[in-house]
Amino acid sequence: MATYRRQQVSPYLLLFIITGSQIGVGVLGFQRLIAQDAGYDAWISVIIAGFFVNAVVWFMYKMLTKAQGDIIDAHKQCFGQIIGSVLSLVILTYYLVLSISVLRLYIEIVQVWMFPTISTGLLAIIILLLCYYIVSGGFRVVVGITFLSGIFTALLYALLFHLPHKYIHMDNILPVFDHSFKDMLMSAKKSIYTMAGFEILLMVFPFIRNGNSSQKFAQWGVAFSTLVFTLSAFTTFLLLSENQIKHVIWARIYIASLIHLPFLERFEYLLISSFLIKVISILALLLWGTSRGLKLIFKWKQKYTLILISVICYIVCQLLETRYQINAFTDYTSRVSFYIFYVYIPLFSIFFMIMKSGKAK
Amino acid sequence: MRTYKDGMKKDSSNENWIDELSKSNDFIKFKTSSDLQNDSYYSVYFYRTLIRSEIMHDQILPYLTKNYTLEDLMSQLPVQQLTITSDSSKIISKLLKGYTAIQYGENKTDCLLVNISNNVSRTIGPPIMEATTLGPQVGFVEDLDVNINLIRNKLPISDLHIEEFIVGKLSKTSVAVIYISGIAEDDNINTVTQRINDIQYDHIPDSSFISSMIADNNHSIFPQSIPTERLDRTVGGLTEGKIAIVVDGSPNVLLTPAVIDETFIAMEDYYVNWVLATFFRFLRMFGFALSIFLTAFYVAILTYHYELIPPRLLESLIVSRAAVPFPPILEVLFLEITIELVKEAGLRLPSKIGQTLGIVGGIVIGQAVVEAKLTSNILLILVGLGTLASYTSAIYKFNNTIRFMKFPVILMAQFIGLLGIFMGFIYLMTHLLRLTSLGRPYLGSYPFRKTSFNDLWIRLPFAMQKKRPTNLRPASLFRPTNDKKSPGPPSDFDE
Repeated sequence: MATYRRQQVSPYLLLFIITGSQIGVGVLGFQRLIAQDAGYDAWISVIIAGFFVNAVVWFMYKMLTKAQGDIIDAHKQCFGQIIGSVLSLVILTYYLVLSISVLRLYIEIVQVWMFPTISTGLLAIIILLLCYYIVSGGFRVVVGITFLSGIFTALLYALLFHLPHKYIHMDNILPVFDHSFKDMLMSAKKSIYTMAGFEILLMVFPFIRNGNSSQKFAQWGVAFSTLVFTLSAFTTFLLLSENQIKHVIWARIYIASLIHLPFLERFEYLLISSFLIKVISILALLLWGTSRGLKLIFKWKQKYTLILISVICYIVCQLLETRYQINAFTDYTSRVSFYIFYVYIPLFSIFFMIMKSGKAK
Repeated sequence: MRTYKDGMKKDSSNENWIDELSKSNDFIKFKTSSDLQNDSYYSVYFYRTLIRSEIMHDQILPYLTKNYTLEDLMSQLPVQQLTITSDSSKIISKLLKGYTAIQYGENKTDCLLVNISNNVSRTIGPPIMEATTLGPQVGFVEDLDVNINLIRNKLPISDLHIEEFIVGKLSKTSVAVIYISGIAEDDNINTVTQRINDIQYDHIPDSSFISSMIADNNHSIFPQSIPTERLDRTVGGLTEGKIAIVVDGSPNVLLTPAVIDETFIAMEDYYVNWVLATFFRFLRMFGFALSIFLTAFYVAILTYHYELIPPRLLESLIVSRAAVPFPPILEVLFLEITIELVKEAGLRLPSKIGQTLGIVGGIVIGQAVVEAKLTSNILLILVGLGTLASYTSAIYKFNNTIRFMKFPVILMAQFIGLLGIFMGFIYLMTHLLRLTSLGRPYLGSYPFRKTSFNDLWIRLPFAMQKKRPTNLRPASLFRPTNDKKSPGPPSDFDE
């Protein structure tokens, strides 16, 4: 770990890395998905899901502090060179899939709300070039962009919760706890895709100064994003009724379009454009993690792995054309995420800890 | 054959340096006695154009009629800086600096070197580019020694260290690196001295040469060290732990390492109340953002997103644009480039004509362009505002950066509207994040430091600036400050 000393960043930046990678395009439209099962009680499911994420982060920390490195080191220490690398590749592939879905979803939003005729490839290539510029600056620059995007979106969220008072219906969310616990768990499972992003911790960990004691920042980061998600779901349910929400794919953008300022209308244009910095910060983190992982596994230069995965991103984005395909893709991502991070990672870290303590004896 | 390949032409040997130097017509050599049988005569050599002839006549030549040896002459002459040497390369270099070499009798190796150099420099005046209404009106001049003298007078402490370098194979420019040891960090000092030592170039006419030669990234349009002609700014920087680089022949002293936020700091901020100073600082940052993004927003909104504008406002916008035959991008580029031309022409002309030009360019062309329906009124207001805002930065070099930066953003806005503006913004931010100055981050806001609130974004009262800026890694962090915030008498409320 000492080798990364020059590139290491302060532990408090983990707060920005976690919240920055968690709060992405999902926050604009996840309200519809979670309301399918638990209805207007779904905001409680978000809190439940948040606690699950806290637990997963705790497991990750247990494993990473034992391994004193990233997930690739942990896999290698546990399963040896070849099997370990294959398992690490699965996780890296997941990162890549996640970044593709983030990119494609954002491009879809732009196409639906701002530029109906803009080509997917053009936008993808511009965003990926920008990401290349960021990632090639090294981890410090990647975190810098995450930090800035955190600051700017904090300003934006202040405006997001500026609700049009006359459309608020308190009775939308009453009575509370009207759905079964099973429904709520189902909803919590649906919000996994929105909550995804914290998984990057597995690659980032060696770059955090005093990594072992930095857990509180990671946990507070998760807690903060849970708070944002909950508030965002809650306020959405205040404005939109249960039946209405089924037909609104991007609920937050829909609500943002109700904001009127004396010099500005159609606030969603500004919202979507400024979400670019969010999207780019997530993409930069994920592409950085993936390209770095590939570099460590195959001993290639990070420049070439980054170009490789950017090209894959570009091609897959082109292939996802319709709303249906994109939806299927994110559903699939969400399912993979569930099995890798809520099932495999806790099991692996338990196994890893037992193995390590066995070796110590 | 003269070869300048490795910088120096082949050194003349002891005997023929006189012949070598005599090839210049302003090199004077004479003997005080024409009697060759007599051993007790002096040979005098100097460059006529480099010495002060009145000192030569009044204080040196009278002593040469007597029969002193060189050692005796050295104790007799009423001039400072006398040395005896036989090293011919040293003699040549001193002669070229305005010294006079005196030889006694037939001894052609030992030389007495007398400094009677005539340094021509302008007198110290108020700073021209960084004018303030309040505060000291002392600007640096082109002479290195005068500048160092000014700095030493303001900081009469033995910890003020000065390291001098000779840079430039032909120009032999003196470069002084100044810092306060015990405050400036050793790593920074080593980096600066190392980089200055490594410079290979013919001549160094100005400190901006040094600035770009020691910069971490010399493709960047951002100044990575702050050039200043203000004495108070330099002294302030030194006390914070910065390193000043003074270059002979340049009135601009470089302060390094720098962060971009410093370009919004004017020295006047320290001569007014801290609330006002903070307000002005925010005003400058706002001006920076405005001048880059204002006209880009005009292009983006009128090309793609006119829905963003409320109907009442849109009405006046449309009315003013109704007769304009061009798309917004052409309109904006036309006007922006016109303004840039006026600026550029004004800079290249003598100041009196420059004023006339400003009136012709600004008022006449501006008015006529609108009346000819080539641009809209509103755009004229926006471009004027942007131009005004671009000059609020306290560092002139940074103004040039701002002047250029709006054009890529305007083109991006034409390309994909608001998204393009945000892309330009992210690109700019990434560039600033990647930049370093002496290996230290250039963007002052990241990594986030608590001391940035002392004196970077806002200026706290002096009693509250207990720490020096930590981005400079000062060797001693705390500066002496009063504990009490203000010395006024307490009221009954405080008792």
